[in-house]
Amino acid sequence: MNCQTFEALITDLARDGLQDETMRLRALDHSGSCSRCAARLADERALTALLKHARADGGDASAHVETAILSAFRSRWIRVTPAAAPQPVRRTLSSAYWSIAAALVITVIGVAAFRLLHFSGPDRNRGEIRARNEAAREVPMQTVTPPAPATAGEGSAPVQVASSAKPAAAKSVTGRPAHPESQPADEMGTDFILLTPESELFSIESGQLIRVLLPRTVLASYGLPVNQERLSKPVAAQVLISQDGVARAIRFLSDSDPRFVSSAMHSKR
Amino acid sequence: MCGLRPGKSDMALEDVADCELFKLAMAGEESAFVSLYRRWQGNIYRFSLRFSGSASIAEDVTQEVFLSLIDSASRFNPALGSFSSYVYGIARNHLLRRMSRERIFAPIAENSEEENRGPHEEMSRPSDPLGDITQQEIKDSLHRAIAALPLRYREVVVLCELEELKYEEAARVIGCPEGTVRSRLHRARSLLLHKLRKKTRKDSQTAGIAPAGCTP
Repeated sequence: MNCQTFEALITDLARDGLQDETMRLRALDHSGSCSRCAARLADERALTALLKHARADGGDASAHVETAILSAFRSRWIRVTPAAAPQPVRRTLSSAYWSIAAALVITVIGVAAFRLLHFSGPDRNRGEIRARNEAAREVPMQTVTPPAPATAGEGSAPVQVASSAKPAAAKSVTGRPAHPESQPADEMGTDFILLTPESELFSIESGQLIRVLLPRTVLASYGLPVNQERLSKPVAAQVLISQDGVARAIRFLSDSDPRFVSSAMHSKR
Repeated sequence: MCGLRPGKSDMALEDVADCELFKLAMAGEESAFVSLYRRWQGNIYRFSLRFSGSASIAEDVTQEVFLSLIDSASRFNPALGSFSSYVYGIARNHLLRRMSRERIFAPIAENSEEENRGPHEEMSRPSDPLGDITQQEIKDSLHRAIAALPLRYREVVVLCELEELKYEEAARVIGCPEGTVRSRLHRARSLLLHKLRKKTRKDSQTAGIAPAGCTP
C-alpha cells in the first residue's frame, strides 16, 4: 500500500469504520513502516477521540419548547377528533341545505324539461304530450275503460292513461315495471328515473334520498300520465342526491303512497 | 417493519422503535408523542446549535421540527429511510431557511476568540471549571473550529461525527450521494486538524512552549 491509498482510507481507519479486514491490516502495516502516515493516523485518531468526547455537549431545549409542542399536539387532536365537533347542529344544517338545494335543482330541471317539450321540442314530442293530456282528460279517474288498442299495439310511444286495465306499457323510464298491483288507478309511483347519464353513476360513492313536492305538470316531462283533476295539487317525489350535490335520480310517488301523504301533510304545516 | 401497536404503557414506550412510536403519536397517543419528543429533542437541539451556532435558532428549529412532524405525519415513509434521517432532514431544511433569512451562512472566524466566545460557550458547561479547564478549552476550540467550517463540511461533521449517523443516513439528510458525504468528511476532518494545530501552535507560542500537535 502506498501513502496515497493510505490517505484515502485514513478517515474510516481512524473512526474504526473500515469494514474490509484485509485493507485494514494492510493500512496498519503501512503506517508501521511510514512515519509520516503513522503521525497522520495518530492525529486522526486523536481527533476522533476529541469529537467523541464533544458529542454530549450542547444540552437540551428548554422546558417551554416542550410545553409549546405539547399544546400544539393537543390542539391538533382536539381539532380533528370527531367528538369535539358539534355534530347534531351541523347535521341539521347540512340536511336543510341539501333539501333546499335539491328542491331547487329538481324544480329547475322540471321547468326546463317542461318548457323544452312544450315550446321547443320536436313535433313528435309535442304531439305525444298533447295526446297524453287529452287521454287523461278523456279518461276520468276510476273509470273502467278498455285499453285502447292504438296505444298498446301500434308501436307508438306508450301513453300511460289512467285505467284499471293495467296496461302493459306501465313501465318506468328505467324499464322496470312500476309494480302495477300496488298502484292506484290513475298516476303511478315509479322506479328511479336517471337524471344524469348512466356512465356518471360510477362516480357516486354515497348519497341522500330527499323527498320533495313538485308541480304535477312535471310528470308529463317524464312521459308519465297527469291527472288533470289534481293538476293544482303537487306531486311527491324522492330525489337521490349524490355526495357532490348533484341530483342523480328521481322517483315519483303515487298519491296514495304513505310517503306522499306524509309529504303533503308536512307541506301543509 | 413498523407496525402499529396501540395501548402501550408509558414504561413500554421506552423500548418502542422510533417509527413505531411516531405512528402511535400520530394516531393521537399523547404519551407516545411525549416519549418521542423527549427521545429526540436533545439531538435536534444540539444538531441545530452546532449547525447554526445560535441557541435561540436551535430552540426555534427544535420547536419547528416537532410542529412539522405533527402537521405532516403522512410524509414519513419508513421504507424510504430511518426516522433519524427524516427528522434531521426536517431540521436541516428549517435551519437552512432560517439561516438564509438571517444571513448567517458566513463561517465564524476562529482566530478572534473574544468575538466567538458567545454561542460556543453555550455548548459546553463544565461542572468543575478548575479541574476541567484544559479539557474545556480543547472542546471549546473544537466547537469553534467546527463552527468555522464551511457549511457543507460543517454539516457532515455534525451529522457523522457528533450525531453518529451512518454515511448512508447523512447522505439522505443532505440529499447527496454517499460518496460525497465520505469525501466531504475526509476534507472536513483535515480542515479541523489544520485549525486545531494552528490554535495549539499559537497557544504554545503565547505560553512559550513548543507545539505539540492537536492531541487532547
